[in-house]
Amino acid sequence: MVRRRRRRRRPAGSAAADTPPAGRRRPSPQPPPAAGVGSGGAAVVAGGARRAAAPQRSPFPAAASHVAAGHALLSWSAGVWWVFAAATAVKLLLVPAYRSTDYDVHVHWLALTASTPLGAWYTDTSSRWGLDYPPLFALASRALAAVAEAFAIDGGSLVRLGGGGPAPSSPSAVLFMRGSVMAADAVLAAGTARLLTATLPRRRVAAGVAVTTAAAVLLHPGLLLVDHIHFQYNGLCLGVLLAAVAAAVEGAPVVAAVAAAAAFNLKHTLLPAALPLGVHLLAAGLGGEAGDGPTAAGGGGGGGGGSSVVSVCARAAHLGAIVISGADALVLPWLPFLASAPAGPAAAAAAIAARLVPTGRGLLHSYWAANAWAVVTAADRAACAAVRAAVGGKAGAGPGAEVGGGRWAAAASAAATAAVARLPPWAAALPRRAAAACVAAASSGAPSATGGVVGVAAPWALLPPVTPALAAAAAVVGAAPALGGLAAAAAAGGAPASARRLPGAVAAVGLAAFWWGYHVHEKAILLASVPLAVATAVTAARAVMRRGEGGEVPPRPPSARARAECRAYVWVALGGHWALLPLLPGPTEAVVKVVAVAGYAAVYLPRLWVLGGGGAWSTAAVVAYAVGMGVLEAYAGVGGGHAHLWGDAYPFVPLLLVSVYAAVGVAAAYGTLVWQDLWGEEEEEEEEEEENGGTAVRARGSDAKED
Amino acid sequence: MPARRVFAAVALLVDSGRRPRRSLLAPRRPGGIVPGVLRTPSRGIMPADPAPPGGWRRWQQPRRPPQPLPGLPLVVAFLLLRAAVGLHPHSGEGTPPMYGDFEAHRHWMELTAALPPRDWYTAGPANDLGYWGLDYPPLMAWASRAAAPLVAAADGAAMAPGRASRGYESPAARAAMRAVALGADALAVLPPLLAAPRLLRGHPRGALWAGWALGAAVAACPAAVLVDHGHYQFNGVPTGLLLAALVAWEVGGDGAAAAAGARSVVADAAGAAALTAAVAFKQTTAVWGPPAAALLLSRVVARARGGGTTGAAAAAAYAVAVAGAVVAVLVAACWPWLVGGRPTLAGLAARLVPVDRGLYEDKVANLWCVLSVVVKAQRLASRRTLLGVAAAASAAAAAPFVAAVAVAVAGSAGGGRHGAPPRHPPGTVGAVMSAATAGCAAGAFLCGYQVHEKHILQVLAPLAVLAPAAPRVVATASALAAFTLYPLLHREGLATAYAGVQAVHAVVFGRHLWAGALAPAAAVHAATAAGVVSVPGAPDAAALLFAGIGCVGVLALYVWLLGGVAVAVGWWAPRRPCVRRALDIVGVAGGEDGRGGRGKEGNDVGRPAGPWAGVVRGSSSGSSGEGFPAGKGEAPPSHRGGGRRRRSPQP
Repeated sequence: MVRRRRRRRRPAGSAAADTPPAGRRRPSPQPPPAAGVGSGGAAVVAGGARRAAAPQRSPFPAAASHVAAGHALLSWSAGVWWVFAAATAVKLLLVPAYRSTDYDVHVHWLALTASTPLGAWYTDTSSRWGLDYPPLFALASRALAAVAEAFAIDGGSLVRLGGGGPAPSSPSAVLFMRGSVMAADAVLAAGTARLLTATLPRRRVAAGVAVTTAAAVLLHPGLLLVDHIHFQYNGLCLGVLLAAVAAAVEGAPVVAAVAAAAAFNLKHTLLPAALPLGVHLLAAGLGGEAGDGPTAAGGGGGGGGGSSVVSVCARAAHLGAIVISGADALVLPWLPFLASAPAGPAAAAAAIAARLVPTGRGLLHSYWAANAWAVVTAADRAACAAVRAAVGGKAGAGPGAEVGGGRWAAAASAAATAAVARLPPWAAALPRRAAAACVAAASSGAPSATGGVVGVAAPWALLPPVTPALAAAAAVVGAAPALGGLAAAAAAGGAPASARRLPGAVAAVGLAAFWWGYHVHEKAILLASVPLAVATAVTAARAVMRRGEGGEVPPRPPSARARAECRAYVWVALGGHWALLPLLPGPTEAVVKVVAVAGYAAVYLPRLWVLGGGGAWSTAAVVAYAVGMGVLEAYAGVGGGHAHLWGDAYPFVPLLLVSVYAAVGVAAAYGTLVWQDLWGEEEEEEEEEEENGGTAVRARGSDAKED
Repeated sequence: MPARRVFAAVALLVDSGRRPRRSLLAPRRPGGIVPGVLRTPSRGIMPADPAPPGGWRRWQQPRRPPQPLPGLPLVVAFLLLRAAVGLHPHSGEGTPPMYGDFEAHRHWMELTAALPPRDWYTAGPANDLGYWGLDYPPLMAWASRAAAPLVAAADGAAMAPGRASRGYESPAARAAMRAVALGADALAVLPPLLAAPRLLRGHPRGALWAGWALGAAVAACPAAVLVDHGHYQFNGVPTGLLLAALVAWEVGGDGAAAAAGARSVVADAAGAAALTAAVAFKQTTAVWGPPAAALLLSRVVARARGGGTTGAAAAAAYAVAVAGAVVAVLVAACWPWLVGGRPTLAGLAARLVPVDRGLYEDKVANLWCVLSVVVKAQRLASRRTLLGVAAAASAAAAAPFVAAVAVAVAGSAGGGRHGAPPRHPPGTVGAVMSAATAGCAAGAFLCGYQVHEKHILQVLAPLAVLAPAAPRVVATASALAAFTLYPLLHREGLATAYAGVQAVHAVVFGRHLWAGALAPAAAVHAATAAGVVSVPGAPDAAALLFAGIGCVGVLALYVWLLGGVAVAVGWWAPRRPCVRRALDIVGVAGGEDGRGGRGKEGNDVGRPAGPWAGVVRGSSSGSSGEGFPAGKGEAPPSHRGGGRRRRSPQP
């Protein structure tokens, strides 16, 4: 379907490249003004020229209505913090909701860090909730424990080691822990505000735009479910990551490197984001300030243009500063642990690494994340059932059989047997061998992947197992298109161009890691989903924000890449978010979780899909997918259809169905981005980005001057 | 001026139907009412469509880009807020032997499912009236009957008849009960709420703004949310029915429709049926009755005065239709008891009017309770005397509002079909009707008999309609109403929910909350949190403090409503503009802060204004035939909020 759309669009794109329609594009890029000096004046002059050219009444009332006379204007920060206040009020209502064992885990870490010496944090085995987050998060836990101690929350029970008992669940203890998550979300709000300010440099925007854009990120249903009900601190970690991206967009690569290192030291599952950030920082370091055109990379020392020895040295120093500061920030939180370990730094590092990357936990989480391996495992199961039915009518005989008795199974089995009987002998041997393998796997006594347990070493009966290294390699290869696109953008437009693509690239790499990763949790979709939310919110805001000082120039359609991100986010927000629902299993939260996910989707996604410009077929596909999701939710989710039909039998089937069906959505998102990076139109985007870059730089300069 | 008007009219004709009304999308000011919830523009992030034909959006090039459902964000926020509050404890959770209102409603579901309707209100072997005997009117009982299978589907044990299920609180049953309350609230409130913006089209600040203001006032009303979805009741149903009735009466009072006849009669009859249904759902909403009766009777009179035999016939037909609707609803609701004869009917009546339960319950923020510090009325007189005194006082409090409704209807009729123009601007009847309903409820709350603290919701429901014209008063009153409920909520473990919902409301209304009026409430919260008000000899001191502040607030609200009604119907013309604006419930003076109004030109009679304006003349396209474009964006700048910072694209 994508191919069709592309073919249809190509002539339009080429025509647009040849003859830019009058009045829509600026005649020619303004000469880049000298940094700082007179840039405000230049912008005003340019604005005046555009104002004269702009029609009196634009044909774009939706955009005009916001910036037209006398409407409420907010800064990005004001909009973000207003939404943050509203979101916090709603989160306050979620305090008594269900908490997963992650709550016990985090409470245990408070007690652990408060009551044991630093050297023992990563080696303590007194509880099953061992510390398995990176050192900076451990230190943050210690800080939170200090707060709990200072205020004697719940009589100090939060910081007393419980000896493996249940975590304190008194109202004050729960309120404190929940409150800490809400407060940590301030980092997310700050990162979002900074990223929006950096990406769309306006002093004031229409209140509706500011609030809608902020709400798309801060009312993210995944974060609401995972952080504020299930209990984790993803908002904090992702907020730091967004701040790193914001610093990159601002043209401060050293700050970006440090912030990114801090994010990875808070939550190491964010590490896939290191790939695109690394590409961008490398480009920024190599480019220095010497790029042609309005590339405002800076943050390191100054450097002149040209290719003199001085310039080369300056670039080298700049790159060195980025690399060294980033590496320092990455290592710094580890130092106390390495220094205080009784067994020496190397052993301590090995112990921490063993905690952070437990390799023995199997390819699949107990509840399968919606990725490639879930699909493959389900296919493996289905194939096993098929061949066993075909070979000997042994369906239902083995202890791990997935297909039960009944007329349907019997009929299917008979048909399959007949089909095998018609095969030539050499071909008929294959199903027999496969069936033998399936029987062996089922009767080996090893835990089954459909048993809902962690640590299944070989989840497949018919295929060779996937090792962690293989999965990691697949993830890197899968991320290569996005990284290549980022590098191409950096080569063409310098650091600012790659910085603008950074949120989308982080999301694309996050999707690749989610799709191919080893032992991925369903919550890991947040690494793709939140940056995509930011990227698409920026696209949506840009689509209605008129440009120029007074907002006279109508906005232009988003670039092909931005449109692909919009479509990808629609798929992620359907499939990926929906796959989070089984995290909250009880009936009490059923309405909240469904309203949060479906409400966000219903309010936000239609606009985004239109903005993404999906074709008729893909629109039909996404609508059908959403409808199917509703049906499946009725069967396997809150509707309880499975339990109604089957009682307690086949308890894993609902989870399997959810995983596989959600994987379809995630695959569509991933495929959309990969397709765009490999075969999508790029020319249009380059031009667009350049122009936007010019505007952005000028506006930033004028802002800085006014401030 | 004529040139400008001609231009405006031409522009309107050329543009109508194609161009979104810019003024409707216009948020007013930064930091003001609800930048997010109220102001989220329904076409906010739509792409601005600059592509050439055949470009990136060719297949979807309708004249207007596809839009999400209007009010969808409102619906989602409505549901999410209530579902989140539903996570908190309910009344009487885990407190045998009587539990609380949650158990009462569960018991009614189980009871109505197990017994034939005739036995619902009478004591019997299977119906122990001492244990939460059904004391709501039949419609509530029918709703319980309808909900029972839904809860039983989630957990059959919750609907086991008799003693077996008393106090049954499994998570599944609890979730199902919560879902039933949420569904009832949404089904009753959301349709009239989503229909309201259509009717608010002519509002000075734009129908979208007005619709969002009304929506926020209803959806984020802290007291309503906490009582229905925390404590557990079904007040959303009568609220929604009242809103529907007010909308219907506004349609029915529309001058053009009144001339057309049938549509007006049908609308008014439907409104009467809706209000009757509200009373048949919860009898305490009968306090909404007097203004409604005044409205409908005045319309009968207005028709009769229309002239000649046609007028008399029209009036008779109208009266028969409205009375028929009322009677039909009552008969349909009470059919089993009507056919059951006198004893069953008497049993029903005895259950519905509990005279023996005293002047008030708990510490309620009304006059009797607050005066009990000085005068213990309950010791001075018998219950029957007190009932008479309370009824007389409530009637006296309601009288001016009833009269005002009659005057407003008479003033809006005009002198015959082609005679003199109406005396009041067109939004007046709707605004006065809402204010009068709220005023009657406030009067009954202040000096009624057997008042509960939750009856404050009957004041807030009609008051919300005034939110577009007077957001400050409505928002402050809503916050204060929740404050009066705090002792009850705190007792039931809903303090966190209270804090969260008040915070949501505060963020939504922001600047429109009147800090001065809320300061005492905040001080009491701070004092109770610090333990200052726990007087050893007087255990009720804190509760009385809450009741006293709430009582003063309701009294002030009553006075404001009285003043607003008096100004609206022309009994009083305050000379000072600030007073005029503060008491403006119609929206003609530009609201309480003097912005966005258009009453200064002196020709505002005949212009659509007020909360329900725009229905007037029954046209969906506003008032294009009048020579001036109301609320269409082409109005001269002076019509839309002077004095604001503007960024005009004029060269």
